[in-house]
Amino acid sequence: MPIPLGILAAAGARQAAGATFELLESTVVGSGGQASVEFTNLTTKYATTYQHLQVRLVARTTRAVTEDGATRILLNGDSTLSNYRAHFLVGTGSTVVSYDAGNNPELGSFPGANAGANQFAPMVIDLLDPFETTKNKTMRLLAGSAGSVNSIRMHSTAWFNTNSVTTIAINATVGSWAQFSRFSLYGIKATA
Amino acid sequence: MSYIALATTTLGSAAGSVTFSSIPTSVNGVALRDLVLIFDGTLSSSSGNIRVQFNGDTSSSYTYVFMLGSGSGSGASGAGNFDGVLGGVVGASIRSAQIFQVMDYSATDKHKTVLNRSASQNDNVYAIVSRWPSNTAVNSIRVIVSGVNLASGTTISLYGVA
Repeated sequence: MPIPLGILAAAGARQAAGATFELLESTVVGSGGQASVEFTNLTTKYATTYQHLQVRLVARTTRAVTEDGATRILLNGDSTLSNYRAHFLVGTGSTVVSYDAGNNPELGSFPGANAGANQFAPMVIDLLDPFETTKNKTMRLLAGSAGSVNSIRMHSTAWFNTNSVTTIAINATVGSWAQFSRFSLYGIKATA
Repeated sequence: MSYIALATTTLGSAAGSVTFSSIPTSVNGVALRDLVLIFDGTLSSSSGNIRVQFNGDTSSSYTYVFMLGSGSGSGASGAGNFDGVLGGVVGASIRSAQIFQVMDYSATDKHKTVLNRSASQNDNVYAIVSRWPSNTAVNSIRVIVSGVNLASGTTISLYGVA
């Protein structure tokens, strides 16, 4: 059954229910690479409108390795790792591993500079109730890589702090995010 | 305006495949970054893995890594090549709900990657990543299970994410 869509570009398409999922900011890394991608002033800009946040990214790093696991997400500039706790479920391509990652807000494995050309890893991170000041913050992610790096992974990460989230930093802690890596922040409204 | 419904079809009769063609890269001047394909359905007979093929490429150049939980034991993981983006199992008696996230589908500076989460009645729960080794923008998507018809009543939706 063929369904041609070309007419949509000119005629417009239907917005999904209530326009409750909206692009807030987006960054594409330039030719020099970028060690950290940050979304800042989030409480000021978004707390009154959005209940949840989602980061969608497609990235690789400049580190001279095939698989780069030295990547982290930090909230409000808090680099004290003991304030975080994570659990991972990972498929390696041959086995499934579930483990307590400890005080480590690691994002997982990305293709490094020695990986095959043009290979990037996709990731979707959900940050729930980031602006609520009565609860610690929780994140979950779905990510993977198929090629030079083989993994499919689901993480849960907690930040033991009830402060409203003002900053999300996504860091390549040894190398940098490579050119063409893309990071987009979305907001999910509390009401339509 | 970030999540835009591009098309939805519910099959009125069994079909060998569903193809969305001439996929736009923008709508009303708003650039689309990702695509989200949602499958909810069954097959007319038998069972098999969903394939999502880009731009008519039916070669086995797509790579995948999956992990699954079967309801007992510690799960399983595998990797390899396939003749399409790999989805979870669907069958005549296996209703499956699957979400495919096609990232940076129109970018010409990277291979295309897809995250899949599948839940199948009477079968497994899956998480899958696939890569199509092409820098070409995706302009058509074909949904197929090799050699078996998608059953009447199957619904497939395509969304653009700005």
